Amino acid sequence: MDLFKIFVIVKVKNPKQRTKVYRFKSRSFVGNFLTILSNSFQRNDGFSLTQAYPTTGSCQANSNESLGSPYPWITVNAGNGDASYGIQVGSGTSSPAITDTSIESLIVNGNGAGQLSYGAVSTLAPTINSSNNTGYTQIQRVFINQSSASITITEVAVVAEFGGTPCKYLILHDLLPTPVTLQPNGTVTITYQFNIAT
Amino acid sequence: MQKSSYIGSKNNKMRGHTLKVYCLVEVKDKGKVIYSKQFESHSFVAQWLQLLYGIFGQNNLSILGNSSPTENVNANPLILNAGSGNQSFGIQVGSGTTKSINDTALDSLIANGSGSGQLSYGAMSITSPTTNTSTNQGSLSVSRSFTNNSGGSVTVSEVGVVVQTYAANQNFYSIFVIHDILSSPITLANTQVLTVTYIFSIQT
Repeated sequence: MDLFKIFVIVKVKNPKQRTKVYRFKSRSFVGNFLTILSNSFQRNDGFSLTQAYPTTGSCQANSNESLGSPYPWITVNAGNGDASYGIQVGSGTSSPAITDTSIESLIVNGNGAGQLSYGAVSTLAPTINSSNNTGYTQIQRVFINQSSASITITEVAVVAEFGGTPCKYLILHDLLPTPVTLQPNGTVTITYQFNIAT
Repeated sequence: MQKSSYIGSKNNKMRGHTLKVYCLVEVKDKGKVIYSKQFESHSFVAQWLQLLYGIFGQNNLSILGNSSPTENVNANPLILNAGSGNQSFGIQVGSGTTKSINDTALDSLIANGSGSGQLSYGAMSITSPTTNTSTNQGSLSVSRSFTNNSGGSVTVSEVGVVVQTYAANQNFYSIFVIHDILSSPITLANTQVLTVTYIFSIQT
């Protein structure tokens, strides 16, 4: 059994159509993730990351803060309408690369042409099965097409926050095996499921 | 209510892997490597998922011990740079032979020291990530050496990783996240040195 697997579950509901659910294995942590792990392991002061949002400029992350209040650290709980981090969707088609620092072509939040309405990201508490030593936890986001035309999604990503003035950096980037087309008033729910097997 | 259809991933031919963790164990005698074995770690435990849950959503956790039953871990939940002689976090070794997803500690920790049945814990060593842009692979490793200064032999049969978490209440907590049983126990003679390396590997 693999130590750690991530699945992406895509649930599509278009008006007057059956709900379709796709699941595929995510394979695309990007290099930023290792940078964060390494600096966090060492509790380093400021280190540079290229931001996913905005896509220009770098920001200084810090894993040696002494704050007495919650501090974002690979935090993905973006609120309603906030497309700057959490789960993102896009229309890019290039294969993800380890050097990626942002989704290729972000579909922005909104109800205009080519836009999707971003829901809040949910984080679901772990489910543990002690009898077969497996478990998982999930993050999830709903996107609604409130525009008057169809929109096609080809890529998904996870952007996390880090820091007191948060850096927003890409950690996961996946192409959908099959593009998803959302008709007006259609919804898609993207779930990243993190699995372990002990 | 409409029924859902389920479409599997038969057409998902993309290469790569999400995250793999390898464990390398080496034994040196008078500076010379006399044993070396690498295997794929299979044992993140449940607390790893709970930690992810706390991190992703800034959710309070109840795994931090009795002094703070629920607390927010988002200050730095993944510290591994334990110093020499500090057995409370970082890579640990033990003499146990069982594991489960609900483990919160090694089965039987071999304590730091030079007494009978003890090993001297070195400082944790953490490498910077290396990435290969042509293959889209990357990795980083963390390692620790354990020296047998006990005067007798000491047998290691399990290894684990404990992260130190700095919580929002400005206290540190140790959280056990990886547990592996060695396929063959390793017996260290006096003065021999065991080095355990965990390698975190991604391929995009």
